[in-house]
Amino acid sequence: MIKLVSGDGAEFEVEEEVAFQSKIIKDIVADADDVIPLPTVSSKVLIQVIEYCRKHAAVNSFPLSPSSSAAAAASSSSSISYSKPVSDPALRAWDNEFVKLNNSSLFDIVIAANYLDIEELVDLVLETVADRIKGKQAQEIRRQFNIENDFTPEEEEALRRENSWAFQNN
Amino acid sequence: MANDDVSVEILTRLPLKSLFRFKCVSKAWHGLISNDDYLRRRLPLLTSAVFYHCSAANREPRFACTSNDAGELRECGLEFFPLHGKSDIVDCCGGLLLAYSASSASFYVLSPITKRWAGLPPARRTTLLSVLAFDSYHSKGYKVVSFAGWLPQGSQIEVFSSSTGGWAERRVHWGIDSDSLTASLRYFAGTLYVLAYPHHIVAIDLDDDALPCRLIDLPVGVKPGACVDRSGGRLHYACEEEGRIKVWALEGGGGGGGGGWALRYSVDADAILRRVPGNLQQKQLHLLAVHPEREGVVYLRTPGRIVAYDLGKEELGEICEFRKEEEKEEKEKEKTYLVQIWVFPFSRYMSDCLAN
Repeated sequence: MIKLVSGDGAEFEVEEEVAFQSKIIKDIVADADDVIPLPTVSSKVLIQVIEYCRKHAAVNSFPLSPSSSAAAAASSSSSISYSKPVSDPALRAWDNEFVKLNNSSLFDIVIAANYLDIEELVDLVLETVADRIKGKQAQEIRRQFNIENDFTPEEEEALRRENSWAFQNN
Repeated sequence: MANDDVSVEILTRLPLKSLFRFKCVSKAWHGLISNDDYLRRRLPLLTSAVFYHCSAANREPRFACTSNDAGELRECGLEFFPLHGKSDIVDCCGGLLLAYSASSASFYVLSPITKRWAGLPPARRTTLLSVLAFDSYHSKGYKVVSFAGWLPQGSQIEVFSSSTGGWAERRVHWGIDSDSLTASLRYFAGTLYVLAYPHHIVAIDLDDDALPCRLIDLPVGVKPGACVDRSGGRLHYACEEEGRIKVWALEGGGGGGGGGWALRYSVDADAILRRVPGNLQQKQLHLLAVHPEREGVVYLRTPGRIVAYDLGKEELGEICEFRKEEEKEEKEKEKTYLVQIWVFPFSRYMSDCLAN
């Protein structure tokens, strides 16, 4: 068992295969001890990340079929590649439920997942947020992300004119 | 990963239209999207293709483009351009198209992404070969180069500049037989590069009004399908040789003698083929471009696909499918011919060019 300690001091005992979903933890455990402090991750976020890792560790422990391992290799090949959906439909459905969170929770998770180097989770969250906002109007983005519009009406109008093609349908 | 980095990572997953629309969310978002260095390095190259759709009744050029959304080519209608059925698309550069109408003997420059177009004043001489020169990273303006009469070692040319709005007649001299020039041309950073047999690149400086040419010796002989490109600000030459994909970079100015070239990558084509989808043979793999920012990434064309491949890490990158566009019309017993396919980097200037 490996003990993870969140920034607010909560301790979580998890099995190795769950913790090793994080490449960083795998590296740390290889040459240090089994208590791992994660000062930048809050216990709220850590609980969610562990939940994800536990599910994926359980599914990944089964040998992958050749096609799905090839898909996984392709998806991890480049940080900007279009992420391929997780091949197992049940796991994909589980992932879709998992990301039903508000944007700020997802931001916290992606920052933690990036810090812990859990590539699949980073991709999942970024794809989810991108899917939520594509096709939306600027006003909705401001509302979703709590962003203040700091343009004057004149400035905004000039930007809209310059990029008018992007505001047309079709 | 800070909040800004998360935002950038999300932005790179958006279609171009959303990206440009979100410029007016806030000044911070505008800054992120307008920062070419930030996004250019992360975004995949955009792909555009011109194809003809032939039926008994019409033969109209069509244009398709990826908008970094799902890596799929989507047809962008050219209907915004009133002469789309009465002109030929003769070149494409940096996302702009050059069209020529024989009936009016006039050139038109089109931006299919922003659906804007501009007509050029008539050139004085008939064109034999026309090239569009647009590199939004280098300049907001574009040029059109019309080769109007071949000389034994040079050409009469006319150059249109969008900044002056007029044509200028010039005579260029490249110092080698005109017959040795290939049809493999590439424009970037103000210079038009032409591959020439047996082992040269002719570099025509379009930024200099006198259009000086210089010859750059290549490390190996020019091969069919070879490409000259710019990556990380340096000239690159890529070709297939003895079953390997090889990429050289020109160190320093490269005055001559070929000594300035350094072989950066040499990768077994079979190793690439094993990673590329579809059971392909070597002759089905064609070099298309070298990524302008990402070290060691080349774009390869295979039947129905464009794939990015990292020669350093020996990894497959993003894939763009265009087979669907090719096949779409075939079901209706009509043929679609892919004429040409290009890749080009994202630029914040996409909205600016042809704006008025």
